[in-house]
Amino acid sequence: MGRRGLSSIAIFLTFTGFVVGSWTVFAASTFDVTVGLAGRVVPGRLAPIRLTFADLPSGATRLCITQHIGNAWRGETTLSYEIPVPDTDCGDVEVAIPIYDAARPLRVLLLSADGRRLAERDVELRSRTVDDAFQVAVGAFSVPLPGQAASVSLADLPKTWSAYAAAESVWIGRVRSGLDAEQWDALARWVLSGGSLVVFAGADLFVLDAPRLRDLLPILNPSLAERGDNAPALTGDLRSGAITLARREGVPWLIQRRYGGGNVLLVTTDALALDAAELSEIRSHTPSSRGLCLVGAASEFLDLQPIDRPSRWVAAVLTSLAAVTLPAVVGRLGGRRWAAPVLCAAFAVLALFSWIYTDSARVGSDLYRTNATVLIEGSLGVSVSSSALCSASRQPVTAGVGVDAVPYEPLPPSFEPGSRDATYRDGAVRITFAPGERRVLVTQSDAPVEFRARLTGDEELRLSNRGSRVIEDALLLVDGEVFPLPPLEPGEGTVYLSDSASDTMGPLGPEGGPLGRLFALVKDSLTLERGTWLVAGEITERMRTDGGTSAHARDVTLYVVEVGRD
Amino acid sequence: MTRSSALIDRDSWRPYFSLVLFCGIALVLSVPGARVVRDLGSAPFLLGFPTFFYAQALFMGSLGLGLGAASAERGERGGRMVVALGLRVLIGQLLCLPYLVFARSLLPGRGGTFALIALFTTLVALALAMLGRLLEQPRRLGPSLGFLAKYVLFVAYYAAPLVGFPLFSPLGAVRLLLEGAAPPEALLAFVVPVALLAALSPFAAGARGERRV
Repeated sequence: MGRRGLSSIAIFLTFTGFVVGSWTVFAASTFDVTVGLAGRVVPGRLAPIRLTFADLPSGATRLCITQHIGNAWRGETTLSYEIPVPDTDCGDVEVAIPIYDAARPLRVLLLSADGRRLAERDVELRSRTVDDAFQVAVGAFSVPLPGQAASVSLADLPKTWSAYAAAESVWIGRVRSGLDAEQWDALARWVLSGGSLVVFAGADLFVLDAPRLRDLLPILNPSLAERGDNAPALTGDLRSGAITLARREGVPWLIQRRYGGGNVLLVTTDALALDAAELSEIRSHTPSSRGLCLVGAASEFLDLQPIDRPSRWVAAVLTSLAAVTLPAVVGRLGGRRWAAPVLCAAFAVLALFSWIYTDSARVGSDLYRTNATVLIEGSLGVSVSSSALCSASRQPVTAGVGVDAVPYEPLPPSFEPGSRDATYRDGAVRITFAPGERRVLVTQSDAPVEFRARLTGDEELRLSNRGSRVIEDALLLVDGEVFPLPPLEPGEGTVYLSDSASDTMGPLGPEGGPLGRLFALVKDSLTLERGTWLVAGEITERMRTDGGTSAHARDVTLYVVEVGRD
Repeated sequence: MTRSSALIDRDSWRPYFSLVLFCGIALVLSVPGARVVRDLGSAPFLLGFPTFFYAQALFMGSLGLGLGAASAERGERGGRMVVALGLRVLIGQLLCLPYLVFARSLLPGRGGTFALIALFTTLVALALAMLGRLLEQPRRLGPSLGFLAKYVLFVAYYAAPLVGFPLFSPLGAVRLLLEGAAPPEALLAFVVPVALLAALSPFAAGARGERRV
């Protein structure tokens, strides 16, 4: 065999080895991807993505979910989200990411620490797309649910509350086993933020029963009773604010309760014991979930955020002083040995003045950011936030914008190709801002419960502030009646309500200020006119420099706390 | 020390005054006009243009030319002339120090860039001082021709490269440094003033000067 023959064999063997090696790696690293709530996605809303792993290669460190958005007419852009893979080589990861455009598939890459692709999957979205929020059914029902309901199995029920963004309402019927604690918590947080949950719990309450369900239910001390028609029904003591919407055989059949910004409806009979007419009746009583949108508020607040800069007048005074000092010194001392040292000393004094004047409050920022955040707190807490950002730099600025969760960004109808590219990784979105460009990011995340409040009598409010800061602006709302509160100090405390209740909801903080406006918006969205609420707010400022990019952030935070009543 | 060897005197303060006055005006213009973020959207020009740094590059060069001419008038020569010109250029930089400190609030976190621009403008001023010293030699060119040649070369150095090689113009180089140039580019920006300085200094130091009385 000649040299050429040997070379051919060597090349063939090398190529074969490469192909087999690659196949082995790809074959070993298996993962499945499921997208959407009940397999459906609504463009412009968050959707759950669950990645199930088996036999991960040892080098796998992160997953990259990439969306290519737009077209040649609208503009194209790429958004990617990187999430760490679990430590074990088997398991699953759930993340809620926004779906912008169903025209192109979602690409999921398994990457090594050095960015090498170990495996990839393309997930087609077009067939999963629906235009609007839909009813989600969990478990079995006697007849198909009215409307375009989508069924989701217990195993696929998301454990992240923001993943329910596409749900109009969630109905929990007859299930073989109960939901786990994470699923209940996710549902409770979603309801807290404005979701709508319908629970069918007659004789099968014991299957569903969980501490979080007890917290959600509109009745206390549930027990089974027999109705006049011998059908078992769940009864109990109505919670404060709960209302009975319908009765059967003299027993409450449909009970509604506000839970944070949302609603919980309890159907006191088994899901398999209902007919189509009854299900339609329940549906007619079920409010649609309402997400809190703070995009407009954040943009409005950003508009009014002051620019950090020194005064032009001071610059003019400095110039005048310098222009007067020079001829004065030279005119008096010019030509003498110490003319130059005296001149230098005089200008050093001017430089010192300049140094003292341009303190941190007058140093400009490349980026201005206003976060409008509403924390809704009950026994759990959720945070709904919008961050409006604006570049004040004359150069393109790349910044890592810290966020609580995977953000959603409302995109304009058309944009420059690539101008909306963003990468989410390790709690920050990497964005390049063109000079003067504005962006808005929306996040929904879990939040710790900082406040607890209980109205123990007509005049006494027991408060617990687990935070470390004093919250200056606070008020109590009792069925629309406003009671101004003193600053909320950290720790436990009791406040005796003053007589200065107002029939109309007054502003929070200075009149016309961001807190008052945010309160007005939230008051309408969460219908705070009903029930008892502690509302508190604060505005904080932060300066931060990240990789040479300075950012001035203003946080406008509103706490909306459901107040328990004795 | 004689009057002729003083670093600054009543005859040579005008180039400094131009530097101080025009850099100060440029500083005032550099302060952004926007008061709140909304203003940035309605008028992008309110973002604030870093006029000060361009003015510094321009008037430090002009100062260098003026100092070179004054040195020729004084008849300074040799290494002493080079040292004196260097010190006078440094005084020019010191006169800009209050402005430079003020300007740090306009472009925060750019301390390194400021230092590079200060070094660059010092080198440019020194190189042009040598050029001015050479061209203003009374016996080399006539007074009018020397003056004309000096400013034609000045304008050519500042303006001509902007057409094709902006990096070789002091204005282009300052822009590049402000935009955050890569190290090789920044290094290239320093080549022209350093080369000019290296080429002109021996001639300027050896040139005969005549004191005009």
